[in-house]
Amino acid sequence: MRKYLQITILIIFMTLGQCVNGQERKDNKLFSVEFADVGMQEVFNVLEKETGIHFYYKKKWLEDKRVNYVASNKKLEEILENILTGTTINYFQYSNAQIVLTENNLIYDELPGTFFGAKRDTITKESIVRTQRPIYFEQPKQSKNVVETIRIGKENLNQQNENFKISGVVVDENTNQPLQNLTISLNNRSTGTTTDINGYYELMIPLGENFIKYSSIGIESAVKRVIVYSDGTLNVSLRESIEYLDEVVVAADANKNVEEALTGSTSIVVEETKNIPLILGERDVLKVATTLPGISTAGEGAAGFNVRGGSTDQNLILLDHAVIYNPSHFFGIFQAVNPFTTEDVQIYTGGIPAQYGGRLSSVFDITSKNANTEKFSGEAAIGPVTSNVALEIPVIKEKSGLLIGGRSTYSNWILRSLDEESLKNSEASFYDAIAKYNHTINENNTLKATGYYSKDNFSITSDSIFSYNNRLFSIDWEHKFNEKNIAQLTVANSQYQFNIEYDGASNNDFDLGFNINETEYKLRMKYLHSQKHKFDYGIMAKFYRTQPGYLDPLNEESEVNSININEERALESAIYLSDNYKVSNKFLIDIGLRYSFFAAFGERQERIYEENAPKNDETRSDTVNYEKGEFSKTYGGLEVRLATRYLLKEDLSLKASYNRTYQYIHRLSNNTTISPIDTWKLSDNNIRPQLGNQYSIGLFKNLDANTYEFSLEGYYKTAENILDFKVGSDLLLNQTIETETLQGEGKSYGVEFLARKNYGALNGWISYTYSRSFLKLDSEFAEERVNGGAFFKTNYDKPHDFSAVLNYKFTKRYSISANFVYQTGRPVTFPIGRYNYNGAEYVYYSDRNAFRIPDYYRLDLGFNIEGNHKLKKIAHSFWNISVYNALGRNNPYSVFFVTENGELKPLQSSIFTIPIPTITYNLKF
Amino acid sequence: MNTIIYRFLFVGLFLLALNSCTEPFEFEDKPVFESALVIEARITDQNKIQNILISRSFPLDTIISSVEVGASVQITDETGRTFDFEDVGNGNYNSRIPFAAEQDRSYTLSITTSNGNSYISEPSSIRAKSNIDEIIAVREFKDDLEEGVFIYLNSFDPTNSGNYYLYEYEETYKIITPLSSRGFEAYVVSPLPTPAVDYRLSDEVSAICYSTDNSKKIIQTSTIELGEDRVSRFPVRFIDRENYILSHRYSILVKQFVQSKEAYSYYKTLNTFSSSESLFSQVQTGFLEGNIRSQQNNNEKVIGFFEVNSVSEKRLFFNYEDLFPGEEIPNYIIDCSIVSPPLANEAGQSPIISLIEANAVDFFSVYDGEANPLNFDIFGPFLMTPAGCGDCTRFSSKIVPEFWEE
Repeated sequence: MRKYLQITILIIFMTLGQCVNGQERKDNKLFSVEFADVGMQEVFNVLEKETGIHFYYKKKWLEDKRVNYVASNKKLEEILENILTGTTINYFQYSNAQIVLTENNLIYDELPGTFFGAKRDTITKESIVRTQRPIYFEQPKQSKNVVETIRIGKENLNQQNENFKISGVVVDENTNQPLQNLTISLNNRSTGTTTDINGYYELMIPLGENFIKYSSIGIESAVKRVIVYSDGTLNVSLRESIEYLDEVVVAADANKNVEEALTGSTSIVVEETKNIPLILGERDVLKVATTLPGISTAGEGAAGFNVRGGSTDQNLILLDHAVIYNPSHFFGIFQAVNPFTTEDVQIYTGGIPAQYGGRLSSVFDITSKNANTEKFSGEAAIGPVTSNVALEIPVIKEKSGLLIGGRSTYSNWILRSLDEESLKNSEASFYDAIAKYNHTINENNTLKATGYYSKDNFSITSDSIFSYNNRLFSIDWEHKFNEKNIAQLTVANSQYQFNIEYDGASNNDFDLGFNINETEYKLRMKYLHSQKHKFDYGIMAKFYRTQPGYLDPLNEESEVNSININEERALESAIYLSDNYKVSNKFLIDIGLRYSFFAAFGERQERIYEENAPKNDETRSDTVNYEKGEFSKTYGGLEVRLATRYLLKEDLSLKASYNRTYQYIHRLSNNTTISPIDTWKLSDNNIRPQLGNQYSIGLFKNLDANTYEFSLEGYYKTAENILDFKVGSDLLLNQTIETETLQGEGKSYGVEFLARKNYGALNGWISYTYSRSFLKLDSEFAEERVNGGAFFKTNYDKPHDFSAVLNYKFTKRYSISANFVYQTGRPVTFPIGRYNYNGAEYVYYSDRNAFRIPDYYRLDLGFNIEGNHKLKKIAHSFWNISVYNALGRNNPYSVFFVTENGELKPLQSSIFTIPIPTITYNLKF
Repeated sequence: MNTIIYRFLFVGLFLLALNSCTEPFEFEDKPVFESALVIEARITDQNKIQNILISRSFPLDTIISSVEVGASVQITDETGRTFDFEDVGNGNYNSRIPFAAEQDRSYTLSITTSNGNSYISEPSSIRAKSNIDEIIAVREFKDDLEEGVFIYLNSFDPTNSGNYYLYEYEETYKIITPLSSRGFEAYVVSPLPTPAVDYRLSDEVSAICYSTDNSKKIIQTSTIELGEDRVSRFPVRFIDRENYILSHRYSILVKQFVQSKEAYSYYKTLNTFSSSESLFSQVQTGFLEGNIRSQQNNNEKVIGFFEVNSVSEKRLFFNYEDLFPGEEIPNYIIDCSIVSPPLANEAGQSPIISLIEANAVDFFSVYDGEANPLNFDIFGPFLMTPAGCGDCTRFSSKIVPEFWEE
């Protein structure tokens, strides 16, 4: 075909003069034809007979189209116009008896002014209405690297545009699933776009020949040679890249880090984390998050994150839009989110988009995979402590699929086989299960539903069972009104509860517990107004119901007195509007406003305390009862979310953001880490919502076609009403928790550096954070004052935090990886002396958080072996051998004191004191 | 119950590791020990020599406590009247004259230590009159587990102004040794190599004694959440029936102090730190501020709370027979066996002399070596019993307390 075209063009140019005349001498003969569902080729056969004109064309062009057309006494020109409408075929009347059909190309009857080089002197003002320059392109040389050429649109003589809009959907060749966050770059430049959640993209492309590169992590990148004649559609299907599986890369979008307005935003694609060394054979995407700047944990076995100097309750962790309260198993050793069913985690630590709210420090937005709608597939892993399986089951081909995942531990068996007597009767088990159904109803409607349940059970002695569980559901309907307006309606329900059952020999058997339940309704709208403005707006409402604590006798013999703290209910709602405003190519502003409103409502009792007095039992002046549904206390406020980006160079940007956030729910825990018996408290008359402000600024630079990424960010945060506790407070089953809590001023600041190499045999990242975090609890009353009312270090203030995650690929099948973490030890309050008082001996403590436990460091090593990459293999296998804590560093988890021979001796407990080797077998089919 | 949970959690943390470990912790920056002044100052509305105890805190890794010597201590009331205290040794400072704190008058404590630092308390005053109605001893089970004696207290303040109560008690009990020395003691006449022992009557030796112990725990209760200021059947003390102090006759003096709100919460918090479990629990630790401050250095840690309390007290006596009629009395504090250590053995030692010199045995009787009625393989001139089994003055006092009633 190519050859044919070339020849045609040559002929045309050689006979140019004649052509002009030929056209002028067109006769005006009229024809009548009738085509009823006739193949195109047949149409031209008929036309040849009727008109006596010979048509030159390639049969292939005419294959698909069928024609329904009736004409009586029409000019040939008109008939051809009609027949060829909606095709990419142009025609050219070469002579009275010959018509040449061409695909895409128009055949010109005069040479363009630029054909022999631009003649400056002949350029006139008329060139504004000049004929469109014909499009010439070099025929690609034959090579092994075949680049598919795609023609889009039909050349049109009246077309005056220089640029055309190409849009389309990119899908996975195998699964037909849309590929999101795919980078689309044009002509090897860094301009381009990315696909949205539905794999959809739009790109402005200059007329003529272009090379469009589609690339993403885990996807074999593809280059398409695209010859553009007009606006059009280009749907692409790409293959999963085996090669890329070895890479440890965090960001999916090249240059996204530079181009988006938000600071402190990262996405982790689970598939990319698989080479990072494992602990007890579990891939853990949230653990990977802690190697990024600004995110830290209290140590191993510690659940929860501290983000930019914020406490562990300030992170909004969402799984498919529903809040997950305790995303960990086994005190934080394992994450509760199944890595096999997780697509990615989007983390916001700096600028938080206006659609999120309710937590001060960060958002972890975890998205589950969409099931493959084409064919049955799955993944399984067998590790030393847990096993994991995930299946993707097509339900309606190409429309809907079901993802199910389950994970369970067999640690019970391990515990029972231990020699250690004290652990033999112990039990510790956990499991989690997830199911997600995704249904593409049509082009404009998508429905997704997720259900998730996780449970931990353990018992140390035969008479006690401790358990906690998370449960959530969400339904998400996305509706596209048109190309510009998209709505997403979500209903989500989450529940977290813990429970302790004690069934001993005596009469004090009890059942103790806590639960929180929330239901949220969200409507999020997107309005893609123009290139310059993209609006996001929405409304949401969330209903909370908590049972702050109960203690019941477990059986009839038990004489435990029931304690039942009154249920609490509240409403949290918000509206938001944000505009992603592209002021210029360089300057982007993302401004959002969110108004949040909180109401605690009855039926409940609110305790009133004397003013100008510390809150305690004796200053309680009154108790007010509120009826069902009656608002007892409301709070509300405007939250500003502002992020700006200025491109200093194409690959260098400066960003600044300001954030204001309210948090209406507080975790009650005076441990540094999340402990399973922590409870959540809703704001009320006596406990005010937390308010946070964050100012951040960052410099982002990419080098060498995004192979290297660098970022340097700084932030300063202030907060009000940060919840802390009086000296000596005891929180569990406390019925007047406000008498134990204090609310004070928080302050934190830090500098974060990240350097990342995305491609190559050696890849990975290093990050370093210097940060400080302080709290001030001041009052005129001694019992409400901590450390004399001065700012003091929070118990998660860790100035230095360094992480390195490196991966080196020997061959496509073998790679090693290493992971190194260093953190300043966290502040603790130690006893500093003893004294005799009232005939007994007491210890007294330092100021709050005056000391630090020793610095934490750890090196993990991993060795990965991929199964061979034969395409036709039924299943891909993957071995991971890793050593956790390869240096055998004895990192103290906690330090405590015991009395021994009258001396108070400090002891430290550590979790993993020796290197822990693990081998895991993964299977993907 | 909380304790149980803490245990769960704590054991849990160990367990989760499968190979977790606990080992001595080495401070990288060991806290520099700064000795803090510890002030126990409670003056009451009883007209008496008032006592204040001033000591120093001591490091975690020693057991040596030290007292503050040579401090100048004064209490001043709001009218400017000053009561001076003098150092009577061992950290005790007694008022030079007896006095009673008066209702509706505030008092301030000021201390100047021998190194010139001065400390001053916030003004304190008596909140309300204390009034114990009765104390009773009841035989009961505690948590259905241990049987014993509860000392319950009832009190009522019709003015509803007491509300915060602190209790102290002083218990005195009669001790009768299971094997009486009958007033005799063994003594060494001649050491090795010519060992000789004899026995004699001694004024020091007694088979009947009286011991007095003070409460060491912080015992508090509050009536603020009740409709009236009534303390009803409050358990001040529980004594397990196996405890030998119950064996014969027992007396307890219970003192009830009315505390201020601040003092009550200070002691309450202090109490949460006292049990060792609390070190691992959810209790928030930190330095507990009292109401006494350094005048030179605002950051100096001063431990203690100066209180002015009204006090009332009640005493109670009972015999074991009263509550456990016909039942076997508890085991004696030590196991009492009879031995007859030889005067000399084959190794050339004298076990009996060694034991007498070590004060490890009490005299019981002379042993008839010829008949050897107890069929000992080796024996000496006397039957002896472990120290304390024949003579209770080894650990108690034979002096009958003034208040004692039989």
